[in-house]
Amino acid sequence: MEFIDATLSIFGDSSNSIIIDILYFLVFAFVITFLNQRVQIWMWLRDAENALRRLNFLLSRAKQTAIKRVKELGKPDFDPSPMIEDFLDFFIIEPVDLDPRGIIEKLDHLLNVRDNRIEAFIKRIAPNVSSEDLPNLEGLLETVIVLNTLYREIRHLLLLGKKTKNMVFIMQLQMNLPLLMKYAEAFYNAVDAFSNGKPIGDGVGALVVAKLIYGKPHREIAEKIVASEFDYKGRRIIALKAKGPGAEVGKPGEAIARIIAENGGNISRIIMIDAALKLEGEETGRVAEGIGAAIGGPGAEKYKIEEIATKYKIPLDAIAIKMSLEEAINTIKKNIVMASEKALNKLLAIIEERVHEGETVIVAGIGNTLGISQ
Amino acid sequence: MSNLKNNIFLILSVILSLFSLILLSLGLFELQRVGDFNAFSMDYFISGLVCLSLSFYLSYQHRKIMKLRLLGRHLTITVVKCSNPSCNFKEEREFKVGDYIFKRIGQCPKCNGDLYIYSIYAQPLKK
Repeated sequence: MEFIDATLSIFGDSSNSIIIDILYFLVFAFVITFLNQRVQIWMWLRDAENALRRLNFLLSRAKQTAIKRVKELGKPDFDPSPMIEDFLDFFIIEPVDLDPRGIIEKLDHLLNVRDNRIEAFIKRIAPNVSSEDLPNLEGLLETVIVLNTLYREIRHLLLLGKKTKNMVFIMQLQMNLPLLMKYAEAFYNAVDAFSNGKPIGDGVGALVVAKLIYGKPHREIAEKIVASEFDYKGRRIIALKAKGPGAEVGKPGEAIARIIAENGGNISRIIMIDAALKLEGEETGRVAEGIGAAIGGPGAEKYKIEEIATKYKIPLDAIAIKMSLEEAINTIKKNIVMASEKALNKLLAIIEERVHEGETVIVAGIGNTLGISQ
Repeated sequence: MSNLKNNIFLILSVILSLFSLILLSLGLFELQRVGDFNAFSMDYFISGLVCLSLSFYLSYQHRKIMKLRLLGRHLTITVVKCSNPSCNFKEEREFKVGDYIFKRIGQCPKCNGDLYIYSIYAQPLKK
Protein backbone atom coordinates (compact mmCIF):
# COMPACT_ATOMS: atom_id res chain seq x y z
CA MET A 1 0.00 0.00 0.00
CA GLU A 2 2.80 2.35 0.95
CA PHE A 3 4.69 1.34 -2.18
CA ILE A 4 1.69 2.19 -4.37
CA ASP A 5 1.20 5.55 -2.64
CA ALA A 6 4.89 6.35 -3.06
CA THR A 7 4.73 5.43 -6.76
CA LEU A 8 1.63 7.55 -7.25
CA SER A 9 3.38 10.51 -5.68
CA ILE A 10 5.91 10.47 -8.56
CA PHE A 11 3.17 11.76 -10.79
CA GLY A 12 1.72 14.12 -8.14
CA ASP A 13 -1.97 14.17 -7.28
CA SER A 14 -4.82 14.07 -9.76
CA SER A 15 -5.10 17.88 -9.83
CA ASN A 16 -1.81 18.28 -11.74
CA SER A 17 -2.08 15.10 -13.96
CA ILE A 18 -3.08 17.50 -16.73
CA ILE A 19 0.68 18.32 -17.00
CA ILE A 20 1.36 14.69 -17.93
CA ASP A 21 -1.44 14.81 -20.52
CA ILE A 22 0.04 17.95 -22.06
CA LEU A 23 3.48 16.33 -22.09
CA TYR A 24 2.07 13.25 -23.82
CA PHE A 25 0.32 15.43 -26.37
CA LEU A 26 3.47 17.47 -27.05
CA VAL A 27 5.61 14.34 -27.47
CA PHE A 28 3.10 12.75 -29.84
CA ALA A 29 2.63 15.97 -31.80
CA PHE A 30 6.42 16.36 -32.14
CA VAL A 31 6.91 12.72 -33.19
CA ILE A 32 4.03 12.77 -35.70
CA THR A 33 4.99 16.14 -37.19
CA PHE A 34 8.78 16.01 -37.34
CA LEU A 35 10.03 12.52 -36.61
CA ASN A 36 7.65 10.09 -38.30
CA GLN A 37 9.66 9.78 -41.54
CA ARG A 38 12.95 9.78 -39.67
CA VAL A 39 11.76 7.01 -37.38
CA GLN A 40 10.59 5.04 -40.43
CA ILE A 41 13.93 5.55 -42.20
CA TRP A 42 15.76 4.60 -39.03
CA MET A 43 13.76 1.35 -38.81
CA TRP A 44 14.39 0.50 -42.48
CA LEU A 45 18.09 1.24 -42.15
CA ARG A 46 18.22 -0.90 -39.02
CA ASP A 47 16.68 -3.80 -40.96
CA ALA A 48 19.22 -3.33 -43.76
CA GLU A 49 22.12 -3.13 -41.29
CA ASN A 50 20.98 -6.34 -39.59
CA ALA A 51 20.71 -8.06 -42.97
CA LEU A 52 24.18 -6.86 -43.92
CA ARG A 53 25.58 -8.11 -40.62
CA ARG A 54 24.02 -11.53 -41.24
CA LEU A 55 25.35 -11.53 -44.81
CA ASN A 56 28.84 -10.66 -43.59
CA PHE A 57 28.62 -13.59 -41.16
CA LEU A 58 27.50 -15.97 -43.92
CA LEU A 59 30.22 -14.73 -46.27
CA SER A 60 33.02 -15.09 -43.72
CA ARG A 61 31.83 -18.62 -42.79
CA ALA A 62 31.64 -19.56 -46.50
CA LYS A 63 35.15 -18.17 -47.09
CA GLN A 64 36.52 -20.12 -44.12
CA THR A 65 34.95 -23.33 -45.45
CA ALA A 66 36.39 -22.70 -48.94
CA ILE A 67 39.89 -22.02 -47.57
CA LYS A 68 39.70 -25.11 -45.35
CA ARG A 69 38.64 -27.35 -48.27
CA VAL A 70 41.34 -25.90 -50.56
CA LYS A 71 43.97 -26.64 -47.89
CA GLU A 72 42.60 -30.16 -47.29
CA LEU A 73 42.25 -31.20 -50.93
CA GLY A 74 44.97 -29.15 -52.63
CA LYS A 75 47.62 -29.35 -49.90
CA PRO A 76 49.36 -26.11 -50.98
CA ASP A 77 52.71 -25.26 -49.34
CA PHE A 78 51.57 -21.63 -48.95
CA ASP A 79 48.58 -19.82 -47.45
CA PRO A 80 45.91 -19.55 -50.22
CA SER A 81 43.69 -17.13 -48.21
CA PRO A 82 44.91 -13.81 -49.74
CA MET A 83 44.65 -15.25 -53.27
CA ILE A 84 41.11 -16.50 -52.63
CA GLU A 85 40.20 -13.13 -51.12
CA ASP A 86 41.43 -11.38 -54.28
CA PHE A 87 39.65 -13.80 -56.61
CA LEU A 88 36.25 -13.12 -55.00
CA ASP A 89 35.98 -9.92 -57.05
CA PHE A 90 36.28 -11.92 -60.30
CA PHE A 91 33.78 -10.69 -62.90
CA ILE A 92 32.66 -11.34 -66.46
CA ILE A 93 31.79 -8.54 -68.88
CA GLU A 94 28.86 -9.52 -71.07
CA PRO A 95 29.31 -9.05 -74.82
CA VAL A 96 27.88 -5.93 -76.45
CA ASP A 97 24.25 -6.43 -77.52
CA LEU A 98 23.76 -3.26 -79.61
CA ASP A 99 24.49 -5.44 -82.61
CA PRO A 100 23.12 -8.90 -81.66
CA ARG A 101 24.69 -10.66 -84.66
CA GLY A 102 27.06 -13.39 -83.44
CA ILE A 103 26.39 -12.62 -79.76
CA ILE A 104 25.94 -16.31 -78.86
CA GLU A 105 29.41 -17.21 -80.19
CA LYS A 106 30.89 -14.30 -78.27
CA LEU A 107 29.07 -15.36 -75.08
CA ASP A 108 30.14 -18.99 -75.56
CA HIS A 109 33.73 -17.87 -76.02
CA LEU A 110 33.62 -15.73 -72.86
CA LEU A 111 32.10 -18.59 -70.85
CA ASN A 112 34.88 -20.92 -72.04
CA VAL A 113 37.48 -18.34 -71.03
CA ARG A 114 35.82 -17.96 -67.63
CA ASP A 115 35.72 -21.74 -67.04
CA ASN A 116 39.38 -22.10 -68.05
CA ARG A 117 40.36 -19.18 -65.85
CA ILE A 118 38.59 -20.55 -62.76
CA GLU A 119 40.06 -24.02 -63.38
CA ALA A 120 43.56 -22.58 -63.74
CA PHE A 121 43.11 -20.58 -60.54
CA ILE A 122 41.99 -23.66 -58.59
CA LYS A 123 45.02 -25.60 -59.88
CA ARG A 124 47.25 -22.74 -58.72
CA ILE A 125 45.90 -22.52 -55.17
CA ALA A 126 45.32 -26.29 -54.83
CA PRO A 127 48.17 -27.91 -56.80
CA ASN A 128 47.49 -31.44 -55.52
CA VAL A 129 43.74 -31.53 -56.03
CA SER A 130 42.39 -34.65 -57.78
CA SER A 131 40.46 -34.38 -61.05
CA GLU A 132 37.27 -35.56 -59.20
CA ASP A 133 37.52 -32.84 -56.54
CA LEU A 134 38.54 -30.03 -58.90
CA PRO A 135 35.00 -29.25 -60.18
CA ASN A 136 33.66 -29.30 -56.59
CA LEU A 137 36.22 -26.65 -55.59
CA GLU A 138 35.22 -24.62 -58.66
CA GLY A 139 31.55 -24.82 -57.63
CA LEU A 140 32.45 -23.91 -54.06
CA LEU A 141 34.43 -20.89 -55.15
CA GLU A 142 31.65 -19.72 -57.48
CA THR A 143 29.16 -19.96 -54.59
CA VAL A 144 31.41 -17.80 -52.40
CA ILE A 145 31.74 -15.31 -55.30
CA VAL A 146 27.90 -15.04 -55.46
CA LEU A 147 27.72 -14.41 -51.69
CA ASN A 148 30.48 -11.81 -51.94
CA THR A 149 28.66 -10.03 -54.80
CA LEU A 150 25.40 -10.00 -52.82
CA TYR A 151 27.21 -8.60 -49.78
CA ARG A 152 28.92 -5.84 -51.78
CA GLU A 153 25.68 -4.89 -53.58
CA ILE A 154 23.64 -4.61 -50.36
CA ARG A 155 26.44 -2.69 -48.61
CA HIS A 156 26.59 -0.30 -51.59
CA LEU A 157 22.83 0.34 -51.51
CA LEU A 158 22.80 0.77 -47.72
CA LEU A 159 25.67 3.26 -47.69
CA LEU A 160 24.19 5.15 -50.63
CA GLY A 161 20.85 5.30 -48.81
CA LYS A 162 22.53 6.62 -45.66
CA LYS A 163 24.45 9.20 -47.67
CA THR A 164 21.51 10.52 -49.69
CA LYS A 165 18.84 10.05 -46.96
CA ASN A 166 16.48 9.30 -49.84
CA MET A 167 13.38 7.66 -48.37
CA VAL A 168 12.22 5.94 -51.59
CA PHE A 169 15.69 4.53 -52.17
CA ILE A 170 15.98 3.10 -48.64
CA MET A 171 12.42 1.77 -48.83
CA GLN A 172 13.21 -0.14 -52.04
CA LEU A 173 16.28 -1.69 -50.43
CA GLN A 174 14.39 -2.72 -47.31
CA MET A 175 11.50 -4.19 -49.32
CA ASN A 176 13.82 -6.28 -51.48
CA LEU A 177 15.74 -7.56 -48.47
CA PRO A 178 13.58 -10.65 -47.69
CA LEU A 179 14.13 -12.02 -51.22
CA LEU A 180 17.83 -11.12 -51.28
CA MET A 181 18.39 -12.71 -47.88
CA LYS A 182 16.51 -15.81 -48.98
CA TYR A 183 18.95 -16.16 -51.88
CA ALA A 184 21.92 -15.47 -49.58
CA GLU A 185 20.83 -18.19 -47.12
CA ALA A 186 20.32 -20.59 -50.04
CA PHE A 187 23.79 -19.92 -51.44
CA TYR A 188 25.31 -20.25 -47.97
CA ASN A 189 23.66 -23.65 -47.53
CA ALA A 190 24.95 -24.63 -50.98
CA VAL A 191 28.50 -24.27 -49.59
CA ASP A 192 27.91 -27.42 -47.53
CA ALA A 193 26.81 -29.38 -50.61
CA PHE A 194 29.74 -28.23 -52.77
CA SER A 195 32.40 -28.67 -50.08
CA ASN A 196 31.26 -32.21 -49.21
CA GLY A 197 30.23 -33.41 -52.70
CA LYS A 198 26.53 -33.90 -51.88
CA PRO A 199 24.08 -34.09 -54.83
CA ILE A 200 21.98 -30.93 -55.32
CA GLY A 201 18.39 -30.45 -56.51
CA ASP A 202 19.54 -29.08 -59.87
CA GLY A 203 21.13 -32.45 -60.60
CA VAL A 204 17.78 -34.26 -60.82
CA GLY A 205 17.90 -34.33 -64.66
CA ALA A 206 21.34 -35.93 -64.53
CA LEU A 207 20.05 -38.34 -61.86
CA VAL A 208 17.21 -39.55 -64.14
CA VAL A 209 19.67 -40.30 -66.95
CA ALA A 210 22.16 -41.84 -64.48
CA LYS A 211 19.41 -44.27 -63.41
CA LEU A 212 18.67 -45.00 -67.06
CA ILE A 213 22.27 -45.75 -68.05
CA TYR A 214 23.49 -47.34 -64.79
CA GLY A 215 25.47 -50.50 -65.51
CA LYS A 216 25.67 -49.81 -69.27
CA PRO A 217 28.87 -48.89 -71.13
CA HIS A 218 29.41 -45.18 -71.79
CA ARG A 219 31.95 -42.88 -73.44
CA GLU A 220 32.92 -39.20 -73.20
CA ILE A 221 31.30 -37.59 -76.23
CA ALA A 222 31.94 -33.88 -75.65
CA GLU A 223 33.58 -31.71 -73.02
CA LYS A 224 32.67 -33.28 -69.67
CA ILE A 225 29.65 -35.10 -71.14
CA VAL A 226 29.21 -38.87 -71.18
CA ALA A 227 26.85 -40.77 -73.48
CA SER A 228 25.56 -44.31 -73.43
CA GLU A 229 23.96 -46.11 -76.35
CA PHE A 230 21.57 -49.04 -75.86
CA ASP A 231 18.35 -50.64 -77.08
CA TYR A 232 15.03 -50.30 -75.32
CA LYS A 233 12.09 -52.30 -76.67
CA GLY A 234 13.42 -52.10 -80.20
CA ARG A 235 14.26 -48.37 -80.00
CA ARG A 236 17.81 -47.08 -80.00
CA ILE A 237 18.43 -44.69 -77.10
CA ILE A 238 21.46 -42.39 -76.86
CA ALA A 239 21.41 -40.99 -73.33
CA LEU A 240 23.77 -38.28 -72.15
CA LYS A 241 24.57 -36.42 -68.95
CA ALA A 242 27.45 -34.43 -67.46
CA LYS A 243 30.37 -36.57 -66.27
CA GLY A 244 30.02 -37.17 -62.53
CA PRO A 245 30.43 -37.30 -59.64
CA GLY A 246 32.16 -33.88 -59.76
CA ALA A 247 30.19 -30.61 -59.95
CA GLU A 248 29.97 -30.52 -63.76
CA VAL A 249 27.27 -29.34 -66.15
CA GLY A 250 29.33 -29.93 -69.29
CA LYS A 251 28.33 -28.82 -72.77
CA PRO A 252 25.16 -30.76 -73.61
CA GLY A 253 24.44 -28.53 -76.64
CA GLU A 254 27.74 -29.48 -78.20
CA ALA A 255 27.17 -33.17 -77.37
CA ILE A 256 23.67 -33.24 -78.91
CA ALA A 257 24.92 -31.47 -82.06
CA ARG A 258 27.75 -34.02 -82.36
CA ILE A 259 25.42 -37.02 -81.94
CA ILE A 260 23.01 -35.65 -84.56
CA ALA A 261 25.88 -35.00 -86.97
CA GLU A 262 27.27 -38.52 -86.37
CA ASN A 263 23.83 -39.97 -87.21
CA GLY A 264 23.39 -37.75 -90.26
CA GLY A 265 20.35 -36.08 -88.71
CA ASN A 266 18.56 -39.42 -88.45
CA ILE A 267 17.16 -38.81 -84.95
CA SER A 268 13.42 -39.09 -84.36
CA ARG A 269 13.19 -37.08 -81.08
CA ILE A 270 15.26 -35.25 -78.48
CA ILE A 271 13.94 -35.59 -74.92
CA MET A 272 15.45 -33.28 -72.30
CA ILE A 273 15.00 -33.61 -68.54
CA ASP A 274 15.85 -30.73 -66.25
CA ALA A 275 14.97 -29.08 -62.93
CA ALA A 276 12.63 -26.11 -63.36
CA LEU A 277 11.78 -23.26 -61.03
CA LYS A 278 8.39 -23.76 -59.44
CA LEU A 279 5.93 -20.96 -58.82
CA GLU A 280 5.00 -20.22 -55.20
CA GLY A 281 2.24 -22.62 -54.19
CA GLU A 282 3.38 -25.36 -56.56
CA GLU A 283 4.46 -28.66 -55.09
CA THR A 284 8.19 -29.51 -55.03
CA GLY A 285 8.94 -32.58 -57.12
CA ARG A 286 5.98 -32.19 -59.47
CA VAL A 287 6.84 -33.60 -62.89
CA ALA A 288 5.58 -31.54 -65.82
CA GLU A 289 5.80 -32.23 -69.52
CA GLY A 290 6.19 -29.78 -72.38
CA ILE A 291 8.14 -29.04 -75.52
CA GLY A 292 11.34 -27.10 -76.22
CA ALA A 293 14.93 -27.18 -75.03
CA ALA A 294 14.80 -27.73 -71.27
CA ILE A 295 18.07 -26.15 -70.26
CA GLY A 296 18.93 -23.09 -68.21
CA GLY A 297 22.13 -21.09 -68.01
CA PRO A 298 23.28 -18.12 -70.09
CA GLY A 299 21.74 -19.49 -73.31
CA ALA A 300 24.69 -20.63 -75.42
CA GLU A 301 23.92 -24.37 -75.04
CA LYS A 302 20.18 -23.82 -75.53
CA TYR A 303 20.93 -21.97 -78.77
CA LYS A 304 23.03 -24.86 -80.12
CA ILE A 305 20.28 -27.39 -79.37
CA GLU A 306 17.53 -25.26 -80.92
CA GLU A 307 19.66 -24.59 -84.00
CA ILE A 308 20.43 -28.24 -84.75
CA ALA A 309 16.90 -29.42 -83.87
CA THR A 310 15.41 -26.81 -86.23
CA LYS A 311 17.88 -27.65 -88.98
CA TYR A 312 16.87 -31.34 -89.01
CA LYS A 313 13.23 -30.69 -87.91
CA ILE A 314 13.66 -32.91 -84.84
CA PRO A 315 10.87 -32.60 -82.24
CA LEU A 316 12.04 -31.46 -78.79
CA ASP A 317 10.29 -32.87 -75.72
CA ALA A 318 10.88 -31.48 -72.24
CA ILE A 319 10.35 -33.03 -68.82
CA ALA A 320 10.62 -30.54 -65.97
CA ILE A 321 10.91 -31.38 -62.27
CA LYS A 322 9.66 -28.45 -60.22
CA MET A 323 11.58 -26.97 -57.29
CA SER A 324 12.48 -23.61 -55.76
CA LEU A 325 15.81 -21.86 -56.28
CA GLU A 326 16.91 -22.83 -52.75
CA GLU A 327 16.05 -26.47 -53.39
CA ALA A 328 17.90 -26.38 -56.72
CA ILE A 329 21.23 -25.32 -55.19
CA ASN A 330 21.00 -27.18 -51.87
CA THR A 331 21.38 -30.88 -51.05
CA ILE A 332 18.70 -32.82 -52.94
CA LYS A 333 15.50 -33.48 -50.96
CA LYS A 334 13.78 -36.83 -50.63
CA ASN A 335 10.71 -35.75 -52.62
CA ILE A 336 12.95 -34.63 -55.51
CA VAL A 337 14.73 -38.01 -55.46
CA MET A 338 11.30 -39.66 -55.58
CA ALA A 339 10.31 -37.34 -58.43
CA SER A 340 13.30 -38.64 -60.43
CA GLU A 341 11.62 -42.09 -60.44
CA LYS A 342 8.38 -40.55 -61.71
CA ALA A 343 10.29 -38.61 -64.39
CA LEU A 344 12.08 -41.81 -65.47
CA ASN A 345 8.74 -43.61 -65.86
CA LYS A 346 7.35 -40.66 -67.81
CA LEU A 347 10.43 -40.66 -70.04
CA LEU A 348 10.06 -44.37 -70.83
CA ALA A 349 6.34 -43.86 -71.52
CA ILE A 350 7.14 -41.03 -73.98
CA ILE A 351 9.71 -43.22 -75.75
CA GLU A 352 7.25 -46.11 -76.08
CA GLU A 353 4.45 -43.80 -77.24
CA ARG A 354 6.24 -41.41 -79.62
CA VAL A 355 9.34 -43.24 -80.82
CA HIS A 356 8.65 -46.09 -83.22
CA GLU A 357 10.61 -49.34 -83.23
CA GLY A 358 13.90 -49.00 -85.11
CA GLU A 359 14.08 -45.24 -84.52
CA THR A 360 16.76 -43.39 -82.53
CA VAL A 361 16.07 -40.99 -79.68
CA ILE A 362 18.41 -38.69 -77.75
CA VAL A 363 17.76 -38.40 -74.01
CA ALA A 364 19.61 -35.56 -72.29
CA GLY A 365 19.74 -35.24 -68.50
CA ILE A 366 20.57 -31.59 -67.85
CA GLY A 367 21.95 -30.14 -64.63
CA ASN A 368 24.85 -30.17 -62.22
CA THR A 369 25.90 -33.76 -61.65
CA LEU A 370 27.57 -33.11 -58.27
CA GLY A 371 27.53 -36.32 -56.24
CA ILE A 372 25.95 -38.35 -59.07
CA SER A 373 28.02 -40.84 -61.02
CA GLN A 374 26.90 -42.86 -64.05
CA MET B 1 28.83 -12.58 -23.25
CA SER B 2 27.72 -13.55 -26.80
CA ASN B 3 24.75 -15.37 -25.23
CA LEU B 4 23.72 -12.11 -23.52
CA LYS B 5 24.10 -10.25 -26.84
CA ASN B 6 21.90 -12.80 -28.61
CA ASN B 7 19.19 -12.59 -25.95
CA ILE B 8 19.26 -8.83 -25.32
CA PHE B 9 15.89 -8.32 -27.05
CA LEU B 10 14.32 -11.05 -24.97
CA ILE B 11 15.68 -9.61 -21.70
CA LEU B 12 14.48 -6.10 -22.60
CA SER B 13 11.12 -7.50 -23.61
CA VAL B 14 10.70 -9.27 -20.24
CA ILE B 15 11.72 -6.11 -18.31
CA LEU B 16 9.27 -4.00 -20.31
CA SER B 17 6.41 -6.46 -19.87
CA LEU B 18 7.01 -6.47 -16.09
CA PHE B 19 7.06 -2.67 -16.11
CA SER B 20 3.84 -2.57 -18.14
CA LEU B 21 2.26 -4.99 -15.66
CA ILE B 22 3.13 -2.63 -12.78
CA LEU B 23 1.77 0.38 -14.66
CA LEU B 24 -1.47 -1.36 -15.61
CA SER B 25 -1.95 -2.54 -11.99
CA LEU B 26 -1.37 1.02 -10.78
CA GLY B 27 -3.98 2.21 -13.28
CA LEU B 28 -6.44 -0.39 -12.01
CA PHE B 29 -5.71 0.53 -8.41
CA GLU B 30 -6.25 4.22 -9.15
CA LEU B 31 -9.51 3.39 -10.95
CA GLN B 32 -10.68 1.40 -7.93
CA ARG B 33 -9.62 4.16 -5.52
CA VAL B 34 -11.39 6.98 -7.31
CA GLY B 35 -14.26 4.84 -8.63
CA ASP B 36 -14.27 6.50 -12.06
CA PHE B 37 -11.93 7.00 -15.06
CA ASN B 38 -9.87 10.07 -14.56
CA ALA B 39 -6.86 11.50 -16.39
CA PHE B 40 -4.56 10.04 -13.77
CA SER B 41 -5.60 6.37 -14.25
CA MET B 42 -5.62 6.90 -18.03
CA ASP B 43 -1.94 7.98 -17.85
CA TYR B 44 -1.07 4.69 -16.21
CA PHE B 45 -3.06 2.70 -18.74
CA ILE B 46 -1.51 4.51 -21.73
CA SER B 47 2.03 4.16 -20.35
CA GLY B 48 1.36 0.48 -19.59
CA LEU B 49 0.08 -0.16 -23.11
CA VAL B 50 3.06 1.64 -24.69
CA CYS B 51 5.45 -0.55 -22.66
CA LEU B 52 3.47 -3.66 -23.57
CA SER B 53 3.58 -2.91 -27.32
CA LEU B 54 7.33 -2.21 -27.12
CA SER B 55 7.76 -5.51 -25.32
CA PHE B 56 5.83 -7.34 -28.08
CA TYR B 57 7.97 -5.63 -30.74
CA LEU B 58 11.20 -6.68 -29.01
CA SER B 59 10.06 -10.27 -28.55
CA TYR B 60 9.14 -10.33 -32.28
CA GLN B 61 12.68 -9.15 -33.14
CA HIS B 62 14.13 -11.86 -30.88
CA ARG B 63 11.99 -14.50 -32.64
CA LYS B 64 13.24 -13.26 -36.02
CA ILE B 65 16.89 -13.62 -34.90
CA MET B 66 16.28 -17.10 -33.48
CA LYS B 67 14.56 -18.15 -36.71
CA LEU B 68 17.58 -17.03 -38.75
CA ARG B 69 19.93 -18.97 -36.48
CA LEU B 70 17.92 -22.14 -36.97
CA LEU B 71 17.89 -21.99 -40.78
CA GLY B 72 19.32 -24.82 -42.87
CA ARG B 73 19.49 -27.55 -40.25
CA HIS B 74 19.29 -30.89 -41.97
CA LEU B 75 20.80 -34.33 -41.96
CA THR B 76 22.05 -35.96 -45.17
CA ILE B 77 21.13 -39.62 -45.55
CA THR B 78 22.91 -42.15 -47.77
CA VAL B 79 20.85 -45.15 -48.94
CA VAL B 80 22.88 -48.28 -49.70
CA LYS B 81 21.38 -51.14 -51.75
CA CYS B 82 22.47 -54.48 -53.14
CA SER B 83 22.81 -54.64 -56.93
CA ASN B 84 21.40 -58.17 -56.98
CA PRO B 85 17.73 -57.72 -58.03
CA SER B 86 16.61 -60.75 -56.03
CA CYS B 87 18.26 -59.49 -52.81
CA ASN B 88 16.30 -56.86 -50.90
CA PHE B 89 19.17 -55.61 -48.74
CA LYS B 90 18.83 -51.88 -48.05
CA GLU B 91 20.55 -49.74 -45.44
CA GLU B 92 20.26 -46.06 -44.51
CA ARG B 93 23.13 -44.26 -42.80
CA GLU B 94 24.48 -40.75 -42.34
CA PHE B 95 26.30 -39.25 -45.35
CA LYS B 96 30.10 -39.50 -45.33
CA VAL B 97 32.42 -37.27 -47.38
CA GLY B 98 33.32 -39.26 -50.51
CA ASP B 99 29.83 -40.77 -50.93
CA TYR B 100 28.16 -40.34 -54.31
CA ILE B 101 25.20 -41.93 -56.08
CA PHE B 102 26.11 -45.24 -57.84
CA LYS B 103 29.41 -45.58 -55.96
CA ARG B 104 30.30 -49.23 -55.36
CA ILE B 105 31.12 -49.69 -51.68
CA GLY B 106 31.72 -53.37 -51.09
CA GLN B 107 29.88 -56.64 -50.81
CA CYS B 108 26.37 -57.38 -49.61
CA PRO B 109 26.33 -59.11 -46.18
CA LYS B 110 23.30 -61.16 -47.29
CA CYS B 111 24.15 -62.43 -50.77
CA ASN B 112 27.75 -61.26 -51.46
CA GLY B 113 26.46 -59.14 -54.36
CA ASP B 114 27.82 -55.66 -55.08
CA LEU B 115 26.69 -52.96 -52.69
CA TYR B 116 26.23 -49.49 -54.16
CA ILE B 117 24.91 -46.11 -53.06
CA TYR B 118 21.39 -45.95 -54.42
CA SER B 119 20.43 -42.51 -53.17
CA ILE B 120 21.52 -39.49 -51.15
CA TYR B 121 19.06 -36.94 -49.80
CA ALA B 122 18.64 -34.24 -47.18
CA GLN B 123 16.24 -34.76 -44.32
CA PRO B 124 15.23 -31.84 -42.07
CA LEU B 125 16.17 -32.28 -38.43
CA LYS B 126 13.23 -32.52 -36.06
CA LYS B 127 12.97 -29.48 -33.76
